Amino acid sequence: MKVYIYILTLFVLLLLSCNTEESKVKKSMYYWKSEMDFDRSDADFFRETGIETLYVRFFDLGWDEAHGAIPTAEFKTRNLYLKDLNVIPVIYIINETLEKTDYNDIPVLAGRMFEKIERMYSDYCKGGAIDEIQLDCDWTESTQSKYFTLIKEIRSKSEKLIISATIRLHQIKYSKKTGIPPADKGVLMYYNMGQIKSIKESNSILNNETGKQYMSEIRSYPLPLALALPAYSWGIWFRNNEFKGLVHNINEKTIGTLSFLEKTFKNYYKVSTDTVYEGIYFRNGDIIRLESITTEELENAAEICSPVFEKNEKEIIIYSYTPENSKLINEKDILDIYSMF
Amino acid sequence: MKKIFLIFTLCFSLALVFFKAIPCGWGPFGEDYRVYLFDPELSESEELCPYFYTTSFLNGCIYDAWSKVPEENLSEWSEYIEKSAGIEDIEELVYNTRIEHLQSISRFTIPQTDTLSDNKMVLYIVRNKKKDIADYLLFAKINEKLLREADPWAEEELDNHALEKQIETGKKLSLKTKDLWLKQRYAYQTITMMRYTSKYQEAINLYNTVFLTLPKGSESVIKYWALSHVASCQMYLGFKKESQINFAEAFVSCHAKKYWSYMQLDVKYIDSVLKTGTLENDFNLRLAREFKNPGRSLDNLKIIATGNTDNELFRSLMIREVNKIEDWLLSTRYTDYAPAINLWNIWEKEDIRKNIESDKKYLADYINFLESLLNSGKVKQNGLWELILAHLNFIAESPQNAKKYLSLAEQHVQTTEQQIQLRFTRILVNIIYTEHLDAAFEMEIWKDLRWLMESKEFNYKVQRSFSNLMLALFQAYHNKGMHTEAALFMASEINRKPIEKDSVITEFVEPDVTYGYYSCGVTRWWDYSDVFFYLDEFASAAETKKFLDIIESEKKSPLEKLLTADVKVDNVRLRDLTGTMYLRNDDLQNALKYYSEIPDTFWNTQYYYREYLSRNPYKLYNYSGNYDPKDTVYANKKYFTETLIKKKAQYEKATGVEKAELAEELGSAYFNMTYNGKSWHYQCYGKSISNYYVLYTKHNYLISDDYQYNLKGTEYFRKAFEYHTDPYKKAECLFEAALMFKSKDEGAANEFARLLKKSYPERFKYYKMVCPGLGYYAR
Repeated sequence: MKVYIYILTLFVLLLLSCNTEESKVKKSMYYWKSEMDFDRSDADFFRETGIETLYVRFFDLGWDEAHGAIPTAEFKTRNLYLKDLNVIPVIYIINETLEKTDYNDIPVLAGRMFEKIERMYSDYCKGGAIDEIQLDCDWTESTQSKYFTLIKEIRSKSEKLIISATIRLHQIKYSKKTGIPPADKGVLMYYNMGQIKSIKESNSILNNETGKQYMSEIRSYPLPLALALPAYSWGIWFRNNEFKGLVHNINEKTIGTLSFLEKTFKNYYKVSTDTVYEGIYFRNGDIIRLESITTEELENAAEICSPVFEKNEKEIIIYSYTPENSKLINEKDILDIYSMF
Repeated sequence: MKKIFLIFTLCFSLALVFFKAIPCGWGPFGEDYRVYLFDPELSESEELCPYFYTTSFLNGCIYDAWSKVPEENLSEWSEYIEKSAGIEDIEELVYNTRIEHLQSISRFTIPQTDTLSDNKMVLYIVRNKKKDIADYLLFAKINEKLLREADPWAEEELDNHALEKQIETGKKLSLKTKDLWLKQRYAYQTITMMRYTSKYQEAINLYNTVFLTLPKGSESVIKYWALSHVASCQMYLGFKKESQINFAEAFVSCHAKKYWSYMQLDVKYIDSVLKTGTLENDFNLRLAREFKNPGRSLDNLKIIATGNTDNELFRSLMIREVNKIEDWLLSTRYTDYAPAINLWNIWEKEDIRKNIESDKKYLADYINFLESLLNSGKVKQNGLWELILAHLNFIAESPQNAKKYLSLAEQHVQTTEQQIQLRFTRILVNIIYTEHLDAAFEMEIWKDLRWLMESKEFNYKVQRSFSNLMLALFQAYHNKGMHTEAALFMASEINRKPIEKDSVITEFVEPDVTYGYYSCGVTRWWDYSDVFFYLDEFASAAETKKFLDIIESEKKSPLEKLLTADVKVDNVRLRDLTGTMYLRNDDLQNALKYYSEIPDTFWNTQYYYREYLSRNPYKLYNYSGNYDPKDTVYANKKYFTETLIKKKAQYEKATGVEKAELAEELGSAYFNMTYNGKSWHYQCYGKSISNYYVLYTKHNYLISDDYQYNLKGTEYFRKAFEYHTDPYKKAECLFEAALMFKSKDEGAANEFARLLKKSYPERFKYYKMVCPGLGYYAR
């Protein structure tokens, strides 16, 4: 009896022993602009925040009536700083492009995409073989087959190549319908979850109430996942309750300085005088909904998304880095986000 | 290093032998002086302009040759859409509309843009639900984009992947489409793509399948566009004969592909094919070949004329032959140059001018051919052919025949262009028909000249042919020694008033009309950049005076008024010239008369007069030696002439030493205004880029014997020697006479030097030290 108690106690103690080893978070960011003009301060930012990997959008896959699927919004830079970072090329695939592309053309398209990515990687990055390519596509039922074939074809171009694919929340929840992309891993895009064009939406970037509803299937999702979180803000511009466009380079700090705006309710502002701002002509009566992310919301998000990393290596990819953004958000805020995991 | 420098210098010198360097570059070029008086556009085909006879590549119309929107296609579209839209709307939709707008039209939605919302062709398509037209336009536009843009993935090559797909679609549509008109277009588009993706045999096969099976009368001009591509494919595959035949056919049958086809035609190869005589129908080959022929075309024209002659190509070739004959015979007749076409063939051993007799015989043969064509009724538009015959007979200098055909042409010419040419030819025929260029002749040509200069359809200021006409008239008068009248024609061309600085230049200024200091001046008017120099070279003082009187007179004859209306001459300079002509003849009174009409300020403003006429002409010293800076009172010709008259009068009355001294002064004066003297600016005009009127004319050495050989000066020194009593002075006279002595006979001894040596040996020794060459002259 005493022996059993001894063993049980030992077992309980072992069970209760804390694993004091901290689980490491891989820190990554997205870079989404077509031009890159880094300077030393950008390099310092990456070093001080410990960001190891930069996901750079190399190009979009657009459509041309004559040529078919073509690269658009191609990334360009004269900087050498990129050569010091671990860069993962990202290709944003416009769903309409896949709709218009003939299924039989997918293998050729994959070859062209891969060759182009290789060329750009060689020109802008540290060179050598590409380890990983990420594809970003909000595919639908009608384009699923083509998209998945595209992934397979690109992956087949190089033995050691890893393909990651972005996964949106609805693709997690309805994965039986939307399918699981044949990638090596996925990136859960935990943002852009709201109805951006709806005047009633409170925050289309991050809405944890909405996000929660999609997470029930996360544990059973077969792909290892990284998590992409937002760290940006923007304004949604309405006229007569109709969506007109986006206003960039605007946040909690700057909006208070804009004299042509009056706060009406929560994050809604009304234009009081006709003004041109950021190249947009605002008229009296227009509405701007400021959407931004608070620490509290991110903490909430972290809790909701924690099951993502039950089985997986933790990689957090923040969307997104821009030199302008880096001046609006400080390094501590970024590090805080990573530390939530 | 030395060797390299020597070789370079030698090469450069040789180059100078072959090229005439003029202040602003190498030239002249053929088109600068080629004489033509028959308008090549009488063929009624503007599109053939690049292929008119010319010495320059594509007649300077290279842009027109390949860039003009093909109107033949637009007119077919207009017919096809039942003339529901104007050419502008059709052009906008067919050539300038973007793919996304064509897609909208294909969905029967009218794009709301400035150029399309009201476009009648768009409305026609949408209202009548003409999807097949919209689909074709979209297909063609995609083709165009694919052939113009690089592969967006590779950035260097064509997008072969997309082109392959498009070709497959095009092939299906070419075969499937029932509408023959659209079928041909699909086939053309597909053949084009096949050509540019190197599918040469496929292109040929598709052409044969579609175009060679078309029912008669259903052919579109597109067939020949396609044929041009097929000919290119055949060329690339090595089927040269077939390719040349098809290029010729494409050249003859459409406008859009003329340039490309023309550039591929290989004349030598074509001749070798024609010689075999194995072709069933070789008209197109001969026609196309002759457009590349700068030489005699009569043999082929005779064969071509057995076919259809009522087309612009045939007319153009016939007129082209006229222009060639003009170059061979008139360029030499009216300029100092060989035919313009031969300008760069100076390495040919054959003397080009000896060809003139042979060319005259060819002209006669050509006239005979044309007459037989006209008499056979094979050609329509009699007025045109009669005009050509009148013109050819003018060139042949057959006044009776020229007059005969001119009278016929006067009855039959119809179009404005023919009316203009009629006036040209009539003036020219009158030149050879009239024995005397009298008032009656002037009235005749005045009527036609006035018509031409006042015509709204004919801008004489920019037409080279008009300039040639004036040249012909100038030459006619010049050959008769009527230099004043000749000068008027020349002045009306090259002394035309310059465009005012503030005015807007709305027309191109004829390059023959030269202004200012830095003009090239070398054109069909030779080196003359101003009528001044023509008068200087050829006119007498009386003729120059008459010219000046006409310019300044209020009462002018109708022709004089017409010719001088726009003329600007420098009247002061002309007075200077007239006075100088009298000075050359030693007619000092008349010289002074004209010099006195010149304001004193004129002399001082002329650099060369100031610089070179400022030393005392009555002393015999060099430019740089024995020069007294205080002796600067003789800075103009007027003062010089005045004092010369006085001194001569004094000399006549004087005796003894006074006479001797005056003789010395007069001798110095007459010597100083000769070629070897202090300044030839007394008598001549020399070229300098800094002074427009100081232009050295090539005839200066021909002015007079005195100018070359200092005859008067030498004589006065002989007299001075005679009248001096002081031996030193006598010796000095002999020495100075010896210096200025120049004999026509180069071997002749210098009598003054010998006499000096013989009679004044000590002084001779002294003068030998001053002038070491004296010993040689006294041998």
